[in-house]
Amino acid sequence: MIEQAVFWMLGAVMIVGALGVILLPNTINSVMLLLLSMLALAGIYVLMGAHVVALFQIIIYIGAVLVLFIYVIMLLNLKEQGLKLPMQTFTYIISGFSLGLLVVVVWLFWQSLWGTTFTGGAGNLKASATVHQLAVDLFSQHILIFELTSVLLLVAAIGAIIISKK
Amino acid sequence: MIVDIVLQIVKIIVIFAVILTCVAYLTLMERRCLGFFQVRLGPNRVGPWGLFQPIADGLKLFFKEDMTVLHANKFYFILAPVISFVAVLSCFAVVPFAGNAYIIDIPVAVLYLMAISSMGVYGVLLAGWSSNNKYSAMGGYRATAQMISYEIPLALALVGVLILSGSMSIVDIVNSQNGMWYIVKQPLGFIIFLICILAETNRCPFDLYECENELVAGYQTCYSSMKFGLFYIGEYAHIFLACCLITLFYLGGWNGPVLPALAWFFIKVFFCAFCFIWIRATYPRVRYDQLMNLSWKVVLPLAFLNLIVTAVIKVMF
Repeated sequence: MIEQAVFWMLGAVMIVGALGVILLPNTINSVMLLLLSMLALAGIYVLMGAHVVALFQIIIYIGAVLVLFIYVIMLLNLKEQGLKLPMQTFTYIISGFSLGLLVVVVWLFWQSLWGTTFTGGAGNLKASATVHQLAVDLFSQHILIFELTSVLLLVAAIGAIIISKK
Repeated sequence: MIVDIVLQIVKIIVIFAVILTCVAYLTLMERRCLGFFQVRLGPNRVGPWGLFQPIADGLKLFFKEDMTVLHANKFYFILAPVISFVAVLSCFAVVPFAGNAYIIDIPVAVLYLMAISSMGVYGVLLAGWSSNNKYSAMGGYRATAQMISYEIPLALALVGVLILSGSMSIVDIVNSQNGMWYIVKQPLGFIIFLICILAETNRCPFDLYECENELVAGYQTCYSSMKFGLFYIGEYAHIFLACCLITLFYLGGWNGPVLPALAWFFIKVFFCAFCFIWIRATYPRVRYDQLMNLSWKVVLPLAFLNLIVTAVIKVMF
C-alpha cells in the first residue's frame, strides 16, 4: 500500500520534471528539473530493491553528467530562450520522425503492459542484486558487452583529447 | 513498528546533536590551534579557555541582517546553502561511531557515501551562478573542476580498501582491520586518499575556490547571516566527515586497547582534525594549474597503480 503510494508520487515527480525540462525557457531550470527527475528514478530503483543500481544512477548521472551540463551552461551564460525554432523542411522531417517514434514506443508499451497488475514489484526482482552477484554476472555472462563498452569509452576519451589539443 | 520508528528518530536526533556539537567545537579548535601555530592567543575571552565562543558565534550569525542581493536568482540563491548542508549531513547516516552507535549499516554504504557527497557540488555551483557576480562565478567554476577531478582518485583509492576487506559495509570494513590497520597495508592509498579529501573539503593547500586574495570569498561572497552560516557549518561538517572516514577506512575505526570504543573513535577523529589544521598552518596555497596537474598527472596514475598492485597481491596470496 505504502509502496504503491510512493511509486505513484515518484512517477508524478518524474513526469512533471521531464515535462519541465523541455518546456521551461531557462536552461538552468531545465537542468535542475532533470536532476529532480533522475532522483525520482533512483527512488523507483530503491523501491524495486535494486539499491546498487539506484546509487550508481546518482553517482553517474547526478554526480558527474549533470554537473558537467550545469558547468557548460554556466560557462556559455545562456539567456532565456523559448522554443523558437526556424520552421524549415528539415524541422518538419525531424518532427515527423519524432512523432512516429513516440507512437511506436507508446504502442509497444500499451501492448506489453495492458492488463498487467502492478503488485509485488519488489518480489519479482531476483534476490541477486548484491554487489558481489552483480560483479560476477558482469564479468562472466556480459563480459563481451562490458569490454566493448570500455573500448567505446577509450575511443571517446582519446577523441576528446585530440579535439581539445587542436 | 511504531516503537521502532520512534527509536530510530530518537537515534537520528541524538547523533545529529553530537555531530553538530563536534562541528561547533571543531571551529573553536581550529582557531585556537591556528593561534598556537602563529604564536598568538586566539579566541579566549568567552567562557573558560574560550569554550563558549561557538555559541556566541552562532547567536551572532542569527542576529545579522539576512540579505539577498538584488540581481540574484532568489530561488537558487536560497536553495544552494541548503543543498550543501543537507548533502554533508546525510552522509553521516551510514557513519558508525562505535560497534553499535550508528543510524544504519547498509551493505552498499561506501557507494551511498560517494553518491550523496557528490551532490554537495551543486550547492557550490548554484551559489556561484545565482549570486550573479564575477567572484562568485569564478569560485563556482573552480569548485566544480576541482571536485570532479579529485573525486575519481578518491574513489580509486577507496577501492583498494574495498578489495582488502571484501565488503562495502563500513562496520565490516572496520571489523576486518582488527589485527592490522589499513594504513599499514595501503600506505600509498592512504596518502592519495588524504590528498583527495583535502581537496574535496576545500582545505588549505587546495582552498582555491574561496582564496581571499583573488576571489574575496569565492562562492560565499554574497551570502550573509544564517545562509552563510549553513555554508560554514556544511564546510566544517565536511571536514568532520573526512576525519571520520580516514579513521574508519585507514586507522582501524573504534578498535583500540583499554579505553571504550567511542573514546578511541573520537581520539582518532580529533587527531585527524588536528593534522588537518596543522597542514593548513604549514603549507602555502598551490596555483590552480598545479592543482589540476597534480590531480590528473600524478594522483590519478598513482591511484591506478595502487589499485592494480592491491588487486594482484590479493589474488596471489
